[in-house]
Amino acid sequence: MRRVPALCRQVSAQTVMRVASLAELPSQWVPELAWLVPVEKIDELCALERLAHTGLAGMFVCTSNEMLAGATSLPTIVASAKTIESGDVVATGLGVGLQILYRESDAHHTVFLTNRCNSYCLMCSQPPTSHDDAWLIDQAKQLAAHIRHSPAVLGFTGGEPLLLGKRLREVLETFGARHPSTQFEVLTNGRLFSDKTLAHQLLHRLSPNVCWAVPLYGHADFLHDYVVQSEGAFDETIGGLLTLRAFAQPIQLRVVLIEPTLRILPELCAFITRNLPFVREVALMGCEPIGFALANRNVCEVDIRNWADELSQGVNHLSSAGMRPVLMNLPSCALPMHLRPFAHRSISDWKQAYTPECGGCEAQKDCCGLFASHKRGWRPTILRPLREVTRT
Amino acid sequence: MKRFKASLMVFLSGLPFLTGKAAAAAPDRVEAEPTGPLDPVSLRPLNLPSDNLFAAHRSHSSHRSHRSSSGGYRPSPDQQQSAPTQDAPYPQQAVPPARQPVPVPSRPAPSAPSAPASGLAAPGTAQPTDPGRAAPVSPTPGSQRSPTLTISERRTLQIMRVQIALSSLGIYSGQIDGVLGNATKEALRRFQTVKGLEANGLMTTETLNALAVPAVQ
Repeated sequence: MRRVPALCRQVSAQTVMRVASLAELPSQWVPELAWLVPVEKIDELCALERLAHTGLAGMFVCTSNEMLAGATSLPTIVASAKTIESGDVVATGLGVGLQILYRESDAHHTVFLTNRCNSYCLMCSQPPTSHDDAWLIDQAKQLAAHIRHSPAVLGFTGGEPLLLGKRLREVLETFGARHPSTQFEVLTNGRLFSDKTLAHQLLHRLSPNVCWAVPLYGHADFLHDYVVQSEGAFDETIGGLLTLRAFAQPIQLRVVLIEPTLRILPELCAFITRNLPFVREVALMGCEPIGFALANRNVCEVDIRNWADELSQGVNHLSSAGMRPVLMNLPSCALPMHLRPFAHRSISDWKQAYTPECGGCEAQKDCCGLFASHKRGWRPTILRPLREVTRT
Repeated sequence: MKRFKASLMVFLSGLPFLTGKAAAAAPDRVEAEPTGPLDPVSLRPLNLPSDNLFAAHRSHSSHRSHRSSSGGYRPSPDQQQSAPTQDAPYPQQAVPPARQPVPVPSRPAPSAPSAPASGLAAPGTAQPTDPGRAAPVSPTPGSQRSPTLTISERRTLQIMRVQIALSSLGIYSGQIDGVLGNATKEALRRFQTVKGLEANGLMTTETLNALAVPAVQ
């Protein structure tokens, strides 16, 4: 998520607030939320102070003007007005800076639940830590209350969300109650669903609309366990998938395209169609060059164009079986023409980029572009602009 | 618009059963307000009369059941057990509750990385409303569903919003307490006078619309 520079004065850590202008307060204000109000002029500050001093709770000032910041007794965040937008849900962190937990204008929204994980995937973009971060659960529940317009889709990720135990259900139900029309998606390795008690606690009569996105990297234990660096993970994940099936939960499988998985991609896809026929979608995803992937470059850095055959065969297996193949994080020029229709604009807004080589490409509006981290890492292939006429 | 008129007239005059009188009358009916690109558009008002529950002082039983007699608003987000809930959960928007809240994706995304399974369609896309036509959905579409409030709590919240609006305008400096006291009524009267509305100190629908405060439902 985005982090913007900010100085917090008299604002306690982990305060969740919604950004709303003075003009928006009369139509939005409710007592249980906290409000971050951008002001740049003295009369705006006076109006806000009058509201706070006549009994309006939850007011926080946001200003880039140091003098205004010094003039007020209200809790203040000194930050540039350009870094926040109306409707943002922000949180103060433990140090300096402000996190933008949610931005209405984004195409993709994700809620971060924990940084702990029980796998150590070779290409992990969010390397896990082991300290107790249960405060993220309360932050997530506060986020649910502060989001103004229900998004169409909202993702939950980590770390491993199942490590929250039954509190994961608490989070999902909080969001489900506040945003009944939203489709939720939980990214999980599914391993802890082998615990029948936990599975029942989480899945029995789960009322919010949840889809479970589960990574699978091989069709045999030694293949999958190697990629996730965890012995027994394959058996547990397959068990988890069958448990999800038993509770009639929708499933999307995710396959990150690193070398050991690309080598067996056609067989993996065939395995999926034969043994996990209840899966609705299989996402084949380009690897993000960040985190552990940088340490395992020898297996993670691939030129996707070299694997066009494997990709084609995999996609064929899946679509022939009536499963929906989805290509993510792969720019259009990396794919052969017949696979481009399966590609999606999947990279989150705030970490997405194009390059100078993309100039003049006519496929740009449909192309997901690159990860912004490609500069420190690598590119998925040698980029070249595509022309409308041939699109080759 | 001229083109539209012309073609409709052509159509009408072409209909065999229309008498000369009807054909002559038709142009009047066709002559709607001309809407050129710079003309003011007619939009749905922020609050319809049916949205405003507290338009005038109404003596009905719910006033007698003021349970929050400790004064003011009791803010409690996880209301399910504590608050006496008399009413069904309401979506926080100014349309009849029967309508589904419409979520607002920022762009019509063909799919997100968190794309739902093919069997589950995204719950409606928000098409940008045509500025030439009355907005068919609430000005605050797809707002989240807030915890249930009693009638008196809704009234308190609405008064608080009115007080916030009046304070921001600089004509109210009393407490934001959700109580329609004398100072609040005075400020309302002043506002209504300035806006040319009937200065009765009540939260009429016109007053709420002029203040741009959505009625709490």
